[in-house]
Amino acid sequence: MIVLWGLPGDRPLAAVAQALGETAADVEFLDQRRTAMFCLNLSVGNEVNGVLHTADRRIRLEDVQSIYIRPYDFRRIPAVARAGEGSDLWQHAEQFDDALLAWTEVTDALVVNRSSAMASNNSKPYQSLMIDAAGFSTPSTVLTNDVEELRDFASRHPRVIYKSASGIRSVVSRLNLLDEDRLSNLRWCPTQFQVFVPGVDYRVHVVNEETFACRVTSAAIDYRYGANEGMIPTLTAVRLPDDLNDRCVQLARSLGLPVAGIDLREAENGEMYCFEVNPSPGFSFFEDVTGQPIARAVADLLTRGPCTASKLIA
Amino acid sequence: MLLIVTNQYDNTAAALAVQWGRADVRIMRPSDLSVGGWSYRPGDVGVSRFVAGGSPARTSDLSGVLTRMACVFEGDLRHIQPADRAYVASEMTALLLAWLSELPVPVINRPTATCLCGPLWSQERWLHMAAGLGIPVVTARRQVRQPGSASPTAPPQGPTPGQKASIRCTMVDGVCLGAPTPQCEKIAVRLAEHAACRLLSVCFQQDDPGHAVAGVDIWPDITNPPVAGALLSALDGRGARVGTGARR
Repeated sequence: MIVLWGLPGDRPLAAVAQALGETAADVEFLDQRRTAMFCLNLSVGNEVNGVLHTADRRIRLEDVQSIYIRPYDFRRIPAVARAGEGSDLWQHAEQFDDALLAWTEVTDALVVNRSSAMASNNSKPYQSLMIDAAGFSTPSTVLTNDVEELRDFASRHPRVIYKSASGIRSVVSRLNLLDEDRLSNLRWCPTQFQVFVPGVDYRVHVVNEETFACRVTSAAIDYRYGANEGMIPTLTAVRLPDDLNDRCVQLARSLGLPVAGIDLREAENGEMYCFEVNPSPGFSFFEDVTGQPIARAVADLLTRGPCTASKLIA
Repeated sequence: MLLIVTNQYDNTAAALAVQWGRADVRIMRPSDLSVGGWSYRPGDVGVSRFVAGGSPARTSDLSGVLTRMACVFEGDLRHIQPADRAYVASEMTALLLAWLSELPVPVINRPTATCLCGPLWSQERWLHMAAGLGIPVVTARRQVRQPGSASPTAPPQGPTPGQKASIRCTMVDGVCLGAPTPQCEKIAVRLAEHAACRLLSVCFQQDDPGHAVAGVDIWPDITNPPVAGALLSALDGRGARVGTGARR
């Protein structure tokens, strides 16, 4: 059995569900809007087993071969939010999520992706240490709350940007040292500043050993938000050189991620920088434009199950 | 300099510092990340600067770090505007995770991606690891029932130490304190090694014919005098180190 966990409106999850629907696979979609109907018994000792009850099905956890997890924060599920903190439903949703995630950490099933592996993305400087170890360049970076340190860093580089260091998404912005108001707030929290690397962006989706790369052409500093400034990015499917392809696969593997979205930029001198590895990539946006069969590949991976992943993921 | 990294309102760090009785111990709390003087370049941690106890210092002056904080919580940041606390807490945690990961001195515990002070695992994960090593374990069970059901959800995080005769021992950098038997000591050492964790506590339950692991955590009482002493030795580089060096 293959389990999908999240919301039906989540586009990557929906795309994988659709791809699986075209096969004979036994699939159960755990719709988080129906969390109130779920029960879970989990037992971990010399063996890992348990039973998951949905509204109309009893699932032995030992029968689950693969699970694709994209759960939303339970506190933001409308029914849970309406019930309020401390309500029976709130506590139930919290405990169900905790128990199911605990199971995903110990099961032999293929998990796309384990939350412990995804956590490296909660600290970009931490993840950059792993990216660096995998042989990619990373931009020169400083995290500081000291204006003089920042001025010194900026004086050594023609252009500097800043962005969040954590997993909270932020718009990459260019540093303006004349903005005294913002600089005066710097001391409250060390902020991540990076050398701006001019070049061409690539998004590479890794699905096990397969890669789906596309080139992103945009005049914006952060192409994800370029449309807001009238700079709509152009996406083009490309084939990566074999060595780069292999490094992307190895990087995802080293982070324990069967599925990942890797953000690269090829500098004007040809050097390949890696900014980030997204452990829960919203690949639908790229798939829609390029036609790359990413959801199909994820569905195939889930169908093949843990044999493949156990070979790849330590 | 020895550094203790902890949450804003944790009193045990100060008690430990007093117990150690050394002048070169500093305590870093989240409010220190709002004092100017931080500078960290990932991959070049040796030249970084930090703030502890309200004063700036150089990373090169550090000789050891004890971390007693899983993350920076919003509640640690009363000096930050409420609307910004969640974001600032995440940013500070992100910085500390990377910085602590690559410090070239003993760090107890070295952070993991999910926790600043080591492997903050579910009881299921600890027991699963132990069982995989052939160590006897007490099975952990939890049930999540539908809300409003006649018997409400009762999700113990693993077995309940205390139901049977249970005893706890503490591992500090390869030194086992309080193990009931030599066999338990060996088990605790193996668990610490496999988790790459210098400081942890193991709970055993009396079982037939010996003891079984009932739970593991990374929050032993650090003010217990033998634990405090062993920590000081470990941070000074005099401990029986378990293989948990800097990641890089």
